[in-house]
Order: sequence, then C-alpha cells, then structure tokens
Amino acid sequence: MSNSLTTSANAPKGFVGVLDYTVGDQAAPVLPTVYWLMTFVALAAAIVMVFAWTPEERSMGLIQKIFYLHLPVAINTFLACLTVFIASIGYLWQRRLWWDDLAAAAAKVAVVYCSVVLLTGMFWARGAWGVWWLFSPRLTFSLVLWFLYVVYLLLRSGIDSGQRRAVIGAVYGIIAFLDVPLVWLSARLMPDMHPGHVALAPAMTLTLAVWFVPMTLLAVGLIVVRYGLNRQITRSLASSSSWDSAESVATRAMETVGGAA
Amino acid sequence: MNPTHLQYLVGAYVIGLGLLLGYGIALWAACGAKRRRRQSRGADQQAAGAMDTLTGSRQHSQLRGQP
Repeated sequence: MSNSLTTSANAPKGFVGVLDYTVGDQAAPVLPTVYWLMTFVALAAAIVMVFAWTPEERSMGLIQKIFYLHLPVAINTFLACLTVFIASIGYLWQRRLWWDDLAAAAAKVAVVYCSVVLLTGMFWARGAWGVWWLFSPRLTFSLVLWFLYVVYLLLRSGIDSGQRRAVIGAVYGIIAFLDVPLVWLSARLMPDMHPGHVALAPAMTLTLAVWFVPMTLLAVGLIVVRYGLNRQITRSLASSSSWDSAESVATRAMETVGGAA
Repeated sequence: MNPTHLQYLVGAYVIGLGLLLGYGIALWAACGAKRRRRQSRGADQQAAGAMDTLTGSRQHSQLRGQP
C-alpha cells in the first residue's frame, strides 16, 4: 500500500513523487456513539459519587473533594504529553504526516487538560492554604509544562510548510516532554506543599477510580476526534498542493517541449 | 460544612468540567462545519460535472448538424 499523496482519488495520475512529503493512508477514525454515551454516564456517576456519597476528609474537609477531578485530569495530561512524545519520535522515524497530526491533536488536549489541572489546583490552594498560587516546585513545573505546550501550538501555527512544521514540532515535542518527569518527581524529591504519597479510605479510593474512567475516555475521545479533523485538513491541503504541483510540472514540460521545437 | 469551601469546590468542578466539555463541544462543532463544507463542495463538483456533460453533448449535436 502506497503512502504517497498522489494515491488519493482527487490526485492526478502520473505525478507520483512530485510532492516533498507523504501524508500516510490512515483514515480518520470515528468513535461510536456508545463510546460517548459511556463517557457521559461514567461522568454523571462520578459527579454523584463525589457530592452525595464520598465522605469528607478529616483535616481539609469539603475542599479535598477537588482531588477527584484534579488527579485524574493531571494523569491524563501526562498521557497526552506522552502521546505527543511518542508521535514526535514516530514522525522523525517514519516521516509520515499522520504522526504529526496525532502529536498536534494530543498537544491541544494536553493544554486543555493542563489548564484544568492548574485551575482546579488554584481553587484547592485557596481553600486549603489560603492562597491562589505558590511557587512550589510542582506548581512551577506544572505551569512550565502548560507554557511549553502552548508554545508548541503557537510555534506550529507560525510555520506554513507542512514538512518543516512537522520536523520542528517533533523535535520540540520530544524536548517539551522532559518537563513531565520533573512535575511527577518534584513532590517526591523536593520539599513541596503537595504530599508525595496519599493514603485514602476505601470509599475515597473507589470514587477516585471511578473518576479516572470518564476523564480517560474523554481525553482519548478528544484526541481521536481532533486527530480526525487534523487528518481531513492535511488531506485537503495535500490534495490542493498536489494539483498545484501537477500544474507546475505540466507547465515546465510544455515549456521544455516548446523550447525543443 | 464550610460555605466558602463549598463555593470553591463547586467553582473548581464547574470551571474544570466546563473547560473540558466546552472544548469537546467546540471540536464537535468544527467537525460538523468541516463535514458540511465537504458535502457542499461535493455537490458543487457533481453539478459542475453534470453541466460539463450537458454542454459537451450539445456541442457534439451541433457539430453533427442536429438541434
């Protein structure tokens, strides 16, 4: 199966190899309705569990319940960043644009999820510590992570050439991931307001486990949908550029024939 | 129950889930717009193709001296 752009239905025949990059032949995936139904049912169940069933924590009280949203979203931020990292390596290895589309999709979801982590953390900090923000190691590294992926998206939007954008994005995506272990390990290796390890009552552990389900399903679903949209955009751009390239080759061929005559 | 804590708790959940679901809705709308654009482009191309066929058959008939 060829991965050339010119295999698409719109592309002209006989111009294989005209383009400077390959798009790949992965079709845009579509998630079934039952997937989204499961996500929203799990989300509704998780919300009910937090507000109606899970007991309050003894020392922090009600404000501790932010934890059930905060932690699963934080873990999924790391998974989205890991997806960017793997897709960036995949692109540099195979030079297929679907890897780049996947990296861009995961980076967008990583930024949204990281924003939620920072915002929910701020509410928690205000309730528990009396301040909206502290420059503790984990908070600082988390803020740096958010900036790194926002810059990743800005950097991509500033580059017109598809191949160049993919290469620069892939290199940046690999470097940006280095902040994830720092966020993860900062509370364990450095003095921080965040506890390194948390012991929970069984009911709290169950609620936390239930919250992981909708947050992970939502993260995967958003990445898949965004990836599908990126694929369509890349394909439509590639198809128009293949016609442009075909036209320029045809023009050059006519000029050569005219010159020879 | 501390009312300020309740406000912060509800605020965190509303803003957090609002952001996640808001992004999802924006993405869904973008996908719908893209699909509609593609469908209308496909319909335009079909119409143009039909017009080309019609024009071609008329020219062919005129060449043969038929109305």
